[in-house]
Amino acid sequence: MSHSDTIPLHPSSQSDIDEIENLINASVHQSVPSARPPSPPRASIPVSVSVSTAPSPFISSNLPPPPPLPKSSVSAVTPSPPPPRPGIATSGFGPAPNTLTEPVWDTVKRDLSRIVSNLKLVVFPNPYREDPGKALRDWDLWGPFFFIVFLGLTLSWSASVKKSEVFAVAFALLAAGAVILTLNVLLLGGHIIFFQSLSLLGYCLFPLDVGALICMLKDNVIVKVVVVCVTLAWSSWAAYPFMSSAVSPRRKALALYPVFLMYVSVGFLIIAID
Amino acid sequence: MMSGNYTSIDSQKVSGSVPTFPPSGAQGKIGGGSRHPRDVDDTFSKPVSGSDEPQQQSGWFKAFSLASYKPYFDVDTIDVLDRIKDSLYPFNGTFNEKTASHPDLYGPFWICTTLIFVAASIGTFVTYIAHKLKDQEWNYDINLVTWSAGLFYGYVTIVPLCLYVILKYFSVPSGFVQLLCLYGYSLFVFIPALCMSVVPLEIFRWMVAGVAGFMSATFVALNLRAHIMSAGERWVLIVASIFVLQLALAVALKVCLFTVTV
Repeated sequence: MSHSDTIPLHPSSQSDIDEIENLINASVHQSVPSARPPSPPRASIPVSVSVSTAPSPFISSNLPPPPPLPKSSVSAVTPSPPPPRPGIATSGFGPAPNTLTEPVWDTVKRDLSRIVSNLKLVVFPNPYREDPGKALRDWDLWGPFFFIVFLGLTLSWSASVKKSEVFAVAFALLAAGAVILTLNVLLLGGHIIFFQSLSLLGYCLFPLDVGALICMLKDNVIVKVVVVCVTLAWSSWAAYPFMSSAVSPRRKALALYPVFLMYVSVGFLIIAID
Repeated sequence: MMSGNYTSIDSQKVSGSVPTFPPSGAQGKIGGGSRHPRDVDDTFSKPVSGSDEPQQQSGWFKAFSLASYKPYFDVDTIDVLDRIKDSLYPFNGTFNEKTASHPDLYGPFWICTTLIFVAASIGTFVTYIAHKLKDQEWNYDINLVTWSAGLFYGYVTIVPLCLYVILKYFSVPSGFVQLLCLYGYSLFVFIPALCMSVVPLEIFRWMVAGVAGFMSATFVALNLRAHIMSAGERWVLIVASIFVLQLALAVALKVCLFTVTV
């Protein structure tokens, strides 16, 4: 291709390219010396004749248009499509994971491991952790559902009369309570993810579940009161960092009081149901 | 090579100037400051449906959005505590004026919820003690929770709603949220009253219920009196009925929750 076939770049465009190149070279020279000589001067951009009727920014040529090429030559010029790239699965990373066809046991194991890892954040809470608001980023609702149902069942087993009513009230209190507490924080202007908050409040029931189980086995009022007080403090301590970090300091008490009230009412049910 | 496909403009006699890009005045895009394109619009400055800014909703849909209730929860801990303190001094009669510009629903809702829990738990404890003192078998009644929930939530919603309609009829309209706020805080006095009802003396329980009912009724009546007086001669009747209703609530609490039959 001869030089007469091309037009040089506009000076301002060339200057932009040079500027970028200088910046790159400067950054490279600061750290590692150049391993090869600087790139040769830029080739000029060829300008093809536009066949379309759209107005071109360039002045139309006085020369007659070139003779049309035969079909064979046109097809020869068109580049062939690139070969298909090998998929990730065939390029050394192994087959892509497919959760639809995996065994049910694998799915259950994965969900259980997630519940256990989330539970660790609650069972061993750290109020001084760096970002308590980001607790349970990998939230799920299986854990809370299990703990709510378990607590309802434990209370209904403990009850001597109206077992079904006890389960219904306990389940409704816990499920509706978690939703209302989350809405309360949102209405107070707190920054909170709805389902993440539901998940956390459900996981915080775990100590009370343990307390309910102990109280079902030990039919002694004093033991019940002591166990419930300990598990209540544990649950409240677990929920405190997350709920308090969600709202402004002036509204901390307004966000935490309802949480404490719900856990106290659950604790009372554990003691009262005989 | 493929010279047939390209046209040289070197040899042409070009009249005029070829449009250039970028414009000659442009500095380098990296070092120099970039300018906004001339045809820029405010498409990206407008909130989109997924953005944090609440969208203006019309009609009934507004009732289902969280943003429409946020102004009624725009209170701090100090504000709520001050309003609770005001509710314990019923003879001031300034509560309605203080909250007129900024009524809240946080206090009424959580005071009601606390009352439900306290009523159910203290009621249970009272019956438990009564049965144990007479060495009789005792079973927990879960219906105490549902009954107290129905009583308090029902009272704090239906009574202000009826009063709102009545005041509208007499052309002295008051804000519904303001009435909810007033009635909600008026119930706070029943929390310590219920706690004192643990004492197993029937006369003492009646006294506590009477004092709490009187304080609550006075608080509501005095705060609404100034507003209702413009309703003409009927204002006395309205205030009296408000007073009696609050006393009736106190009596209902005593009879339903603290009258133990062993």
